Amino acid sequence: MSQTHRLPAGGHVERGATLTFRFDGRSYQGHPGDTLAAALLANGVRLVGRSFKYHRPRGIFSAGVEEPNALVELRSGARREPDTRATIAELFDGLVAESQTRQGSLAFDRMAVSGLAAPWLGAGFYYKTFMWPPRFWERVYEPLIRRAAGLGRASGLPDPDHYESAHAHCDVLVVGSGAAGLAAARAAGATGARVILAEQDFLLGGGLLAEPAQEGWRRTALDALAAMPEVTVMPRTTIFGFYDHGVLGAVERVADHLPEPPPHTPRQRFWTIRAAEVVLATGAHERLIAFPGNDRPGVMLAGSAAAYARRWAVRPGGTAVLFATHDAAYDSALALAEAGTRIAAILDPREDSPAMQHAREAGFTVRAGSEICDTIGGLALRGVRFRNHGGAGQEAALPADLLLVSGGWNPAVHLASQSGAPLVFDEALQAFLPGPPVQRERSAGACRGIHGIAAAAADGAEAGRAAAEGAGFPSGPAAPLPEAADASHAPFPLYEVRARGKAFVDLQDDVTAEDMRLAHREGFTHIEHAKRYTTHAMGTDQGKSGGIVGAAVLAEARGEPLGVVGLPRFRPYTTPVAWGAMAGEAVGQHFQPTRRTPLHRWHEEAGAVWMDAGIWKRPAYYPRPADADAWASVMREARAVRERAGICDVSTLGKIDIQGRDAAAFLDLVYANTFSTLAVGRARYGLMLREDGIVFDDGTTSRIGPQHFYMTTTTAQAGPVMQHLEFHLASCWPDLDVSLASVTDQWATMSIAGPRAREAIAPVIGGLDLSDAAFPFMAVGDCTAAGVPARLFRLSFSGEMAYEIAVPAGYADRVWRAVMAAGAAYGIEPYGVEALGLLRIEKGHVAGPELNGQTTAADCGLGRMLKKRGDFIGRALAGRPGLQDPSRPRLVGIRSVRPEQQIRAGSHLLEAGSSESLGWVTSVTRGVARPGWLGLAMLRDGEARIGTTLTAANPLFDEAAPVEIVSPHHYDPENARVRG
Amino acid sequence: MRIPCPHCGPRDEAEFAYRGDATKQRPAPDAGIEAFHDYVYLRANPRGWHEEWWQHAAGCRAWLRVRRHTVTHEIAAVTPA
Amino acid sequence: MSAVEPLHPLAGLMPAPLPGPDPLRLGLPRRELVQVTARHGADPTGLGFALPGPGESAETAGITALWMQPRGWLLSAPWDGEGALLTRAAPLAPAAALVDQSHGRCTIRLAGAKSRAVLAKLCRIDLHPRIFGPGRVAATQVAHLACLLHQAEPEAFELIVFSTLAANLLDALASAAAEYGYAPG
Repeated sequence: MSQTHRLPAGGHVERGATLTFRFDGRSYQGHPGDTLAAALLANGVRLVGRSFKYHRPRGIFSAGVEEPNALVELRSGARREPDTRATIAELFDGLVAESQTRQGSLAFDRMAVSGLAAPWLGAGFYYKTFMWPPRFWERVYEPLIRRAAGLGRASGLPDPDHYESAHAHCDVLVVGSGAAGLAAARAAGATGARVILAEQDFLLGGGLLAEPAQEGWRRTALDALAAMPEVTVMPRTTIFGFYDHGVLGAVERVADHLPEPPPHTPRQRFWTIRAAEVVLATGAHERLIAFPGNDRPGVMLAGSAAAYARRWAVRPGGTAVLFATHDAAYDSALALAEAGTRIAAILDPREDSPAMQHAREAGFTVRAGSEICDTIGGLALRGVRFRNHGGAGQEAALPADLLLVSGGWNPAVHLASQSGAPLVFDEALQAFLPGPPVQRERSAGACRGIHGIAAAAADGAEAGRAAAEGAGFPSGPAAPLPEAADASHAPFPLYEVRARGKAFVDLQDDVTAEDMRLAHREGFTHIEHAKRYTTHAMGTDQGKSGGIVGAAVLAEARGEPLGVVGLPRFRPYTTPVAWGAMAGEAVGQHFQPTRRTPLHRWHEEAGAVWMDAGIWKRPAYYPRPADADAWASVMREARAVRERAGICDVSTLGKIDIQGRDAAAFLDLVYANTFSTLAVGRARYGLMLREDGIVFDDGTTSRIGPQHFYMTTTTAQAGPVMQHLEFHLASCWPDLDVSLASVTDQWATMSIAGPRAREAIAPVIGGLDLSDAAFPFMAVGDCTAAGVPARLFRLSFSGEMAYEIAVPAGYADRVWRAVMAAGAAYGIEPYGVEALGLLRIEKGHVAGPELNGQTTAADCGLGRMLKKRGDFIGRALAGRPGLQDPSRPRLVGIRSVRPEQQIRAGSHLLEAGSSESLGWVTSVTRGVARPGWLGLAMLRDGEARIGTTLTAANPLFDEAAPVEIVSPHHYDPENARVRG
Repeated sequence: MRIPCPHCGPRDEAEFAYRGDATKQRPAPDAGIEAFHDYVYLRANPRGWHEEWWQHAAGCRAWLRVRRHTVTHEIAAVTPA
Repeated sequence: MSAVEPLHPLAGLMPAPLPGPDPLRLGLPRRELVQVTARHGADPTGLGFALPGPGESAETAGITALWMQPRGWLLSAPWDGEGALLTRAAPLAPAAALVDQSHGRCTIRLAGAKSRAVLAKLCRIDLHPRIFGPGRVAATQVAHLACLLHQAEPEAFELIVFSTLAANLLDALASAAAEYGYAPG
């Protein structure tokens, strides 16, 4: 029979629709409005999981995010999600869930014997037991523990759903939609303020959903909010973190309640909300009591049981006992009685209270001054044992299949605490409450100890009004508040009933009260230490129900008040957030942007093999069918440059337009060499130092006009150089008249290099005399290229005669094709970054591997570039004795003694028979002008060692190559070829 | 964190680049190695109020002097360099 | 000067229309752009209108001036041939550095009732009508890319982004707009 425990009327479920779902392979039915837990209870399912460590049988304990037991694997296949709380999982048709932490069936768990070994498995067990031998950890202990320990299995498959992030802003953010939250949102919304009301549940109302008498007020409030255009109501949205400056994080479960997300709909949305004012109306979580067997299926928080009865119209048990320490919990006995549960007795450690009297008048059996000292049963509760509070006298037993427990309420202070507010212990409520705000937040209702519908709503309305006023919206019409007789939530301070058996303070992590005392005895007396030693409150529920109970046990062991011992620090996330939501859209190709040069499509069509240079896509080389391998392609391209002509896309180099009266003076300050003497129409190689004297970047800068320069930077440092220039202009030399503009994207640049370069470009270039006399090495001039405006530079990185054509990016493709066509007669070939590297290493030009943030100009053989007079960044500290030390590693060239023996970058240079590193290999390649492996290195006393032979040792590859130390200029040391 | 850019209004920290101690002034060119050493390497790391350089790098590119409390992250003043 | 039509950095990258409940319009208006940086102590005039203050734009005779940074603006005008806007902006030159960015930045237009909702997925700033609005400009990040965001009309935004990164922005806008649908326009 289906839904045996469903009540015929009442609640917030749609009886007209039936949803079919499976749990552990069996089929059940529920209704829209159910959570998985509610639907399981409606079908009489009590046993839903096994515990993490001892594999004890566990049932549904709560009706919300505080659930420690009912964690399931939800869905199947790639969508299988472990450790999902059945108490908040919204039921949908076709839902599939599996219980966790079991080997075999849930009813017969082979690992349940670990409960028998329990005396050995106390706090610190792992640390003490699995110590030796060390190698056993990875191979034996960890796999063993992982198999035995609980929690579900990740799917191991790529997540088929997509997630997205989103941003929101508001005047007032209200967190929680119970009586306090609804009243706050309504009061704030009435002022005209922009209000966001976030509710983690799929229905709005919080505790009101279990208060049929308040249904009218709830609906009126929701209608009022819906009519306010500046109020945004966000159900299924958990605020998980309160960060600095009014920034809060939230996750919206957009499609978790559907079998799978509809097209173009994210599964979840990760919100960043910036709020001028925040009202926290997060309510409270009911507190468990530690007594032996307090974890048996059938033990349930009292308020949760009442919620199942009233909100979900489920009768969670046939015969119930209520064990409570405060008056407000008595309402749950009434709720269950209304649902048809027989209330066997109400046990209360107190001697008398108004609620007790009312309960007796209503016909309930109340046993004052008593406490539960054990539970009876196997996989389900069959009864309880109780005794006089304090343990005097005889124990007695009562049959029951449901035990309702309430040790008080824990205000949900997580967000207030994260916002920086201190927590203050309240003796009467035996609870930590938020202290004075640090940020612009205020708590309202149960989360600050104002319990009860009427009191919380009034508190919320005032908080909403005040928050709106704080955000600049002073007034709005007041709305009616609910009326209710609020019972006292102040509990008798009973945290633990000490008797024989396991009394859990943390059901999810299987932490007992005795574990807390053990931690104390072993010196872990601070709450933060005890937490980590025992794993208390470290599960997905983060101790929402029992955290304070463990703290109270520790306080007693320390002999100090609970208020002094305190709670462990609250941090985000208040409830678990899926990794997918955090990653958002930043997965796959969206993980980071890619940057495409204006010639991207040409390279693509030419079949380029791509290389990532930062976020740029650059052609590494252009393979041809005849090339035996990648090296063959690279060597072919480099040879074309050395022998004929090549063309290379260098658009990724940083380009900065610099103008102003003081532009030249500024360049003299930021470059180690002089630029004020540069003639208009000429370029100069520039070396930039950091203020600590280390080389920062290099590049060529050209003078376009008397007060107009065009700077280039390396690809990697384009951003940092711009930032460096901006910083120094703003902070050090604010009086200089200099304007900077990044033109990296405005200009496409292509380098045409090789002995036939001039002939290759001549048909394309207009308006310039390309002869050596008119346009010598390092000349710059405006021209046309393929009929469009362009700028021509005579620069060389390869060591050959070379030109760089800069054109507005939209014409790059046209000009490149024109050069390719004109150069065809001269055998022009495109070359990629690999050939570019080969050529510059052969030529002995430094690049990133040499300018690695540790080397000076002198180290790189560029010491003479530093100007002798005048200030420049890095001048003073470049003169430090340590950086002037002549024995510092200096740039040298290396050649493999056996030309075909590979040398690897990163190898150390050693003398024969020595293991002392004299330096390291920075860049290597095979040569084209000089066959065989060659490279650059930084070598101590480098110049003095030229002509000697050392060993390039690479222990990673177990290689040792004899290398000859040579000048870094392997090719054309006279630099004659660049001049044509 | 949110930093109130004097040009653009409050913006998320993600738009800014951090540089560090803004109490340091670049020494005069002839101040000597010691002075530059202090400028580059000696950094106050106070627990409390601190003057820091931040650039609104993904916004208006302005370099800003931010007075920030290093414990609470409270920002007391932001002025253009 | 040159009659040759430049290639648009997003040529061929506009996604095919995606039907949906409330489609956005994604456009690639071709613009000329000139970056203006005032010289020290100078107040660039000569365009016939005052350059706007922080977060604002101003428009006259087909030229829109967008505040970009302290002392810095971006002039935007419909494409009228290589260098045309630079020539028109020449009167500013004595008081400002002028840099042609017509190829360096590109403009993506996002229009439709859901344009704010789409931008809320990609952009961290508050675009509520009480805070932002037609004529307002923000230098900010959209889809993690530095961007100049200009609200051109009540339901239309123009995003000016570095050309070599623009494909990422177009892709991000299309992804964010997918739930509502989109079409070129």
